[in-house]
Amino acid sequence: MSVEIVETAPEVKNPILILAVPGAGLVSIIAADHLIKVADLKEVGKIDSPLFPPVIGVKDGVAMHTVKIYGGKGLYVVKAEVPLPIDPLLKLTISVLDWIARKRPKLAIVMGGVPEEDRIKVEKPQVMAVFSSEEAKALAEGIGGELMKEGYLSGYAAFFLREASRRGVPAAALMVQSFAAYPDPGAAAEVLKAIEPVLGFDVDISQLEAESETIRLKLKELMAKTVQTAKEAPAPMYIG
Amino acid sequence: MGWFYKEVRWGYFTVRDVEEPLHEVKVTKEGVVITMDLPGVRKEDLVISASEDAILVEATSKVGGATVRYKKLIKTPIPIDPDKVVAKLTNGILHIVAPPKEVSFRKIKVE
Repeated sequence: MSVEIVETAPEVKNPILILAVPGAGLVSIIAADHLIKVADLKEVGKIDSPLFPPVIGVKDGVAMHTVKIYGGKGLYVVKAEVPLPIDPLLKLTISVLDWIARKRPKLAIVMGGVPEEDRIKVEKPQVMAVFSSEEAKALAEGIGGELMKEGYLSGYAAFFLREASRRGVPAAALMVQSFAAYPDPGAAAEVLKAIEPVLGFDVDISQLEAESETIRLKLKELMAKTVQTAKEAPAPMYIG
Repeated sequence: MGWFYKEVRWGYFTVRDVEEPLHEVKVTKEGVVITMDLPGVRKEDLVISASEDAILVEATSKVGGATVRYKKLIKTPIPIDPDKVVAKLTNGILHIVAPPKEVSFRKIKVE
């Protein structure tokens, strides 16, 4: 069973790709939603597979895909709106990397939260950056976050970087201290600040901060479902 | 039971009469530690009640122009001392520490 990617708009050449999937603190989902809004990205494609859980989005009574591609401003954002079990998630990642590799991307970015036990005491969550290669590190010059000097990274981001590397796609993983089981707009804001230098346009996070409480309430159910799904898979962690 | 066997409608942003907040419960050396996500709640809008085996949290907040009422009764995994429960609210995240109930042993005479 395969993953089908359908583009509905002219392709962006040499794009930056951001892949957002539900995870700790829903960091990448919150960041992707905000980016789509402030950059006015349009829906330019959809991704589907019989492997995905039997969940559909519904808008005005019509079924919609739950993995969508947004594009514009030299950027693609691929966003999974529902948590995916480990196997479909890995197959989605491989398919997206195969798809983006053909477009010769400048950089592929994955964002994520690293659960922090004492997140409540952390005023400014720390962002950590890891690259797929020296070339990717050079291409992402200016990207924020502290470079992870040494150690091991495991979990979804590690899989993403390794598979990107195998395909010759320059890639970066930006991991931020976050709540594990509560939506964390504060952590998402720090990740957006970190990626802003490579995007080539300003990302105003004031609205994200202003709507923080609404976002937390709105994403409550997705967070609960993500926690439930993640119990079957190992959590991202790093040693260093 | 997995996704397939539950026809569930979720993810629609309509505030219910009473929202059940996201929460975590852990037992540590300090006792029962509960955290709860209560977006928009201020400490004056929060009422916490404790017994020896449960903690009840009730709160009201204004989020995005809507009034949200939260309520959650948590049965504690171990007996707690309700007089020693402490709570702190930071940016809408509630942190409760409930020390365990001190247990005293009485010698029993064997007949």
